Amino acid sequence: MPDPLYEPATPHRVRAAATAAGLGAPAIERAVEIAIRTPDADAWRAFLSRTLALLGAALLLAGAVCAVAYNWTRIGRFGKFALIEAAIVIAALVGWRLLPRLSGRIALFASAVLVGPLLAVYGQTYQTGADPYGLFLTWAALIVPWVIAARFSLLWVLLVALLDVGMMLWWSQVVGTEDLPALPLAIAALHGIALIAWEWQYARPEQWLDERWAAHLVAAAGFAAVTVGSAVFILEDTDAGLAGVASLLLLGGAMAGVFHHHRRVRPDALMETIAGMAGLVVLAVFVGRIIFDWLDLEVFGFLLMTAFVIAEISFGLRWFRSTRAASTTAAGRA
Amino acid sequence: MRLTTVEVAERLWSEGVVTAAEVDALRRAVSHDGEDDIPWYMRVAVGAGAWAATAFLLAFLFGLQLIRGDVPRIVFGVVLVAAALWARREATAEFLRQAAVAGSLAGMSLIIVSLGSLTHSGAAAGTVGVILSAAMIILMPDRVHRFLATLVCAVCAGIAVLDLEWPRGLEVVAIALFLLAGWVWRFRLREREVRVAELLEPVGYGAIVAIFAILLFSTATDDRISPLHSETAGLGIFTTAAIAILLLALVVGIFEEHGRSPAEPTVLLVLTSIVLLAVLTRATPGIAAGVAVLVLGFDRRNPVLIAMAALFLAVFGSVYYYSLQMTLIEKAGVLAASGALLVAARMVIERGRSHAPTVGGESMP
Repeated sequence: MPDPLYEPATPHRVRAAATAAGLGAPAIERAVEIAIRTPDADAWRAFLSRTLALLGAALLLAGAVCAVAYNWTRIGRFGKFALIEAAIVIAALVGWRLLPRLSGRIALFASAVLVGPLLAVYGQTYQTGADPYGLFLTWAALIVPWVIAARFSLLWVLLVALLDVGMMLWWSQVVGTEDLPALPLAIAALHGIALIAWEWQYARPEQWLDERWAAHLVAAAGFAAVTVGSAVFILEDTDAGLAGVASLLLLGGAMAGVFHHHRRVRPDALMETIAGMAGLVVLAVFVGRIIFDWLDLEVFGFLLMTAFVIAEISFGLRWFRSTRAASTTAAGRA
Repeated sequence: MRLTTVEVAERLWSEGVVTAAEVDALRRAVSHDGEDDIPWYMRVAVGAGAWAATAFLLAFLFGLQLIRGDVPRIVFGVVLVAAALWARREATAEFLRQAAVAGSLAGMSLIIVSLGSLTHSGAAAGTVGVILSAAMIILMPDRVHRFLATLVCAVCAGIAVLDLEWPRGLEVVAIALFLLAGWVWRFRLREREVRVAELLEPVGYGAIVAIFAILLFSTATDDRISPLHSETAGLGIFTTAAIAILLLALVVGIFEEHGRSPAEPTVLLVLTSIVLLAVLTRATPGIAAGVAVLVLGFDRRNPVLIAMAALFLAVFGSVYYYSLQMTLIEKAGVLAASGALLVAARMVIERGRSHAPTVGGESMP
């Protein structure tokens, strides 16, 4: 974690810190004034510009979709292809001309989104008999060059989401296994690979993506999936199969990896919190199994679970504060 | 976007208000900040754990069946809340402090639910819930508890007005929450004491979450979306008008901080746009609410508020356009026109940015 001075400057934190630091009254009042002041005009213009661009693009896209939907039955099959392909080409050209600006990235995002409807129309028109999972996986494969070129976190998240959906559909339609934790395990593994790739590029001198919210979102979804798989294994025992064991092992490995990486390489308290929460939830499920299933404590089991959950909260908070105190000390020495 | 303490210190140093030694003193003071000062994601985690612990505790209490009858349960709830309050104030061990939070929430739930069962009145239970939650916000020195108590307060207020079947009752609750949020996030911040500021910050988050929850509930019971339409549950023109007024006040305040008069053409244009937005979306207050929270979030440099607002704008925007009583092609026109208008506004702003002068700054050693 960084220098404590890089903590958000909330008004009461600034006032409390300035008072504790022994600053004079005028300095304290000026510090609070700066902390509560609205952003400057340039910052407002940048914020409004970005917001209007995103909202405007979304509304234009939605309008185009509605217009196409209205006229859909009147358009011949070649007209349908021409319409969507023209939209993709125009958006891609706009993106190519305007990159690396935000408007260029949004344009590439729009063309990537439109690939899906194009494939759907293709499947509808030619009745290929392909399963829906093929549409999503093909969609994901086709937009990879744009994902790389756009350097847009939202587009990267879309790619991961398409792979998730494609995998889920493939699992249910092709694999059809009754191994309950298998699908969450596969999704968690996919997210793990995506996350490792993200961290690798983030560590490079010239980053490809730098918005951490995207990595946090992918990590949260991945840990949620592996938590489900692990919980199923704990509750179902051998019925969960090898996938259940693998889920538990993957969870342990992922937690170890996250804590190691974000302690020694790139501090990220939110990542550690996500990993920690996943572990604590699985532990609570395990303890609950012991209490209600093996020991059969019934009503008193609820009291024990109350105490256990509170102990987990306490442990988590103590861990977080000790970690922050340790990094504060290290930052002070540096 | 977030203003950091280092940026505040940098500004103070560049203005000659503090020395380098005082900046070091500030760093040491910040590092010993209050132990309850944890980031939002830790509060979400702790809050979720607190609710889980409360649910288990309530399951134990009800499962035990030692306390039978509504009056004994109310009495037990009061004792539990009082004990939890004492424990949270006096205990230093983290386990006891978190147990106090769970116990307090369980006690409050017992009191409110048992009172409702005793009186067969949601209004009575809701009113007591509002008063009890407000009291616990003041008395319980725990940010997660204050946030959850704010949500409980809002839910109880909603239950009370729904039970009383006040026409537009939920609008009153929503408007009250908006006024609360506006006061917490923007009113008299300079004069606010540290103790009061720490009390109000979680209330501010709770009010925003409660507003969006009520708007979602109202949308779900809207007769255009669901056959479960309720006159009491619907939010409409009055809520939108109140939100618009608060948003206008916020924007005027922002311009005044920049030394711009409300009579200036640019300011008038922005204010007119807000009024136009409110008129066009009067039946769907969620859009005006999302825009208001988005503006407030950036004004307060708060990425959490901005993210919440963006998410709800996506939801309410979809609901608004879906519910328009128009053909698909007319909706396409409205969507495209809206989008084009926003893109055009962006181009005007970009042109203004390219002509605006930039100012450099010194950096702190």
